[in-house]
Amino acid sequence: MTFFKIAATLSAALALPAIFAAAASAQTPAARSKTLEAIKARGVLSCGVNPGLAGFSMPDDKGVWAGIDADLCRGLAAVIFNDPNKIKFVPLTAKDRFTALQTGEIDVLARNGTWTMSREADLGLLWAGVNYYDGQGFMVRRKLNISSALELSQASICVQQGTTTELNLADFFRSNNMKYEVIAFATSNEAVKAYDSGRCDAFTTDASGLYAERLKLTNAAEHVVLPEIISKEPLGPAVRQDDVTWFNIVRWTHFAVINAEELGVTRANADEQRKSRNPEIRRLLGVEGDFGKSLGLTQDWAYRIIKATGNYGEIFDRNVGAGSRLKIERGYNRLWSKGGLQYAPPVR
Amino acid sequence: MSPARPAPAAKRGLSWSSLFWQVAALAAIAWLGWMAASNAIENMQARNIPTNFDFWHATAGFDINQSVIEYSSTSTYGRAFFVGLINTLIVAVIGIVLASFLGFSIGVARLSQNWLTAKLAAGYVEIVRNTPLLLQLLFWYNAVLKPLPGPRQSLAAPAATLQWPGNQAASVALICALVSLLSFYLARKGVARGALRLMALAAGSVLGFCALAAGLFGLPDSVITSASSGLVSFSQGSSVFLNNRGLYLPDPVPADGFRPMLIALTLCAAGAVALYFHARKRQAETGAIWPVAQMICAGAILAIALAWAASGPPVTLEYAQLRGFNFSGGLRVYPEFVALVLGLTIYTAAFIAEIVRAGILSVSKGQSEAALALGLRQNRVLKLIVIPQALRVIIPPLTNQYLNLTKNSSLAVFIGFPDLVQIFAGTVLNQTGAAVQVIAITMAVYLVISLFTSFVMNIYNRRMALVER
Repeated sequence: MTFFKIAATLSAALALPAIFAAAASAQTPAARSKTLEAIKARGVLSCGVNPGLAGFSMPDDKGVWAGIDADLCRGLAAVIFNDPNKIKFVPLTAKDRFTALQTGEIDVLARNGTWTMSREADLGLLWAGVNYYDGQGFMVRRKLNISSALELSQASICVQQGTTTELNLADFFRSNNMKYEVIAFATSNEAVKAYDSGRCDAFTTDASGLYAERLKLTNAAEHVVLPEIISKEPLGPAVRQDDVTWFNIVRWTHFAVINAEELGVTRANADEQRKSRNPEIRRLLGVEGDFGKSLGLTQDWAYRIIKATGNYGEIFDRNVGAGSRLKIERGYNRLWSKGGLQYAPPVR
Repeated sequence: MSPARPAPAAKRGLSWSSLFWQVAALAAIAWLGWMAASNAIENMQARNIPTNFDFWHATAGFDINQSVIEYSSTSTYGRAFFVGLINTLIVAVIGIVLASFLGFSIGVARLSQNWLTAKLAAGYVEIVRNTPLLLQLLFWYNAVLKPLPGPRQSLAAPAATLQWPGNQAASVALICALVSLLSFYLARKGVARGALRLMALAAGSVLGFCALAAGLFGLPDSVITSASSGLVSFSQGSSVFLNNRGLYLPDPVPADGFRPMLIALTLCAAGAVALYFHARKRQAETGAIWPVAQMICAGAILAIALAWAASGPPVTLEYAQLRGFNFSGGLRVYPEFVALVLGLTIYTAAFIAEIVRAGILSVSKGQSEAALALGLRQNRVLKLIVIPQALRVIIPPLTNQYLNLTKNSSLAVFIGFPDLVQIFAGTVLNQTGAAVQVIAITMAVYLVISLFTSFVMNIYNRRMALVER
């Protein structure tokens, strides 16, 4: 006990100045939401994103961040500043992302992070929702002629380190009593490059990521994604546990776009829908009631989000679905009313 | 009554006021450190960031492909730490040895009288040391990987089996030939003089004749079993495979002859030590110099041959076999490892070359001229006069390069080699969230490795330093 205490003290003494900087800001007495106050004072939302995952967050050819995670950040910026561009996107590797959030370097982590128990219980984070229901899959070369992940015994597998992917992979092979070789790389890019060069038989990550990364390969048509999904990967935005109000703001930003899709409110018809007689739509768009106020937001908070990014269906379609290069099926990400898992509590 | 009142203690070189300020500064630093630590712990706890080391004994749950010690996904994070640590140490030690050899060669080559050699060495140094190491590592990784075929189209070398000649005659012939050559060699080098020299010559001739006779006698036999009479026999199939998953070599597994071989080599080593001291004594008494290194080599070869002939090969070779996607069995050298060692060696060698060049140039020409004038041979001039003096200049900056190489090995993470940083400060940190502890441990490890390297090199340096009287 004492040894560990001393060791912890010593190690803490070596800690990065970031922790102290964060500590200083955290000690100021909380207003309604100290995170929100800090963002307003700073003038920009600091949003941790993936440095380059097509469909989730990746700078396009004009340097504008695009993807469902990037859009989630835009929705938040719209809610806070009424300007979806007041965002500082902070690209983070899988390895650094949680530390960045814990220390307060970013306000929200929208970086296709998997919601797990240990990340909430041990890392002190909270998942505000699931903006993409995903699962881990494998990609292999077509010419290997295999049709199932169960045929991957003795294979070499490239993976990005520091993710749940690494653990699921170990579990999958262990539970199926198969041997394999793992080669873990610091970044997804390096892992994909090594797979492309033939170092590995298979590349594994979340299925959405497989489709995205396939676009980077020398000849995308030579590679297939195997049908097995070996894990549950609910991906969503995470925040720290120290600010429940801020947690609610992020959560309801996500719920707003789902409710909007369910109610048929789109970016194009949002203005028109304000005149709607449907009380649910009127409440969502802030025509009736004042739900944003209790969170320190404005009355038209959800209207701002929808004007900035559109509803969930539009976001999905534009970034990963039929309207994008990835062409991923809606699958589990359909609305609950259409047989999917996306469900949001009512604005009431 | 102020404790800071200056006291006339200048004679002892320490005044009360300076003592006061030193204590005050120390206290301030300690207080600052304590504040930072307690502040960090408090805030980490407030953010639910773990502040203890409980994770050390928790199950890791991830796999590592290259491990010297037993490791699986059910091992603990602590075990994973040691896997990474050992991998880092292996890379550091191999890298340091190779970089030293290459660096010394390039350094000497740059001083060569030969225009082409000198310019090539200079070109190597200038190109390598002026480009970033990370790019070089990525280059080597891709240069090693890209051109190689997949496992099913592996480049393969024909299988070769080491074995002692199957028939008695050939064995006798080989051993007689070896002893005969050794006798002639010793007689010629003047180790055996007078009557001994005559005996050695006689023994050499007789044994040489025996070898010839036995060889001729055994010849018909060996023609029949031509495949098995050689030292190396070729069989169908392949033993060495090269593909983009690595280089697969036959794995030596200890066999019946392993212990006799071990005993023979131990005896040989003891003999070598005795010979070394005897030769030194002899040189001190008579001035005659024995070729000790060559004699030890010859003795070792003879010992190996005898042990082998007496009790069969010391090891049998286990070959890699293609199973499913990849080869299994055999001794595997991973491309990530090769790329990392190659990159670190080539990069560090460029710096070592310059250090060696500077060291040799620092020894004035007069020294070697004086030695040559005394009648010493060129290689002894180098060994006894130039190198000891050059080393005094070389060792301190060389230590720096060794430390750099060790620390630079942490770039392994970019080419997928599981070193300490990749495993511990990468995966373990991310799975446990114990960033401060993990980074502190990792830093402490590199610190200890570096301090140990410096310690060893400092001892060596002290031995090499000029002793002034």
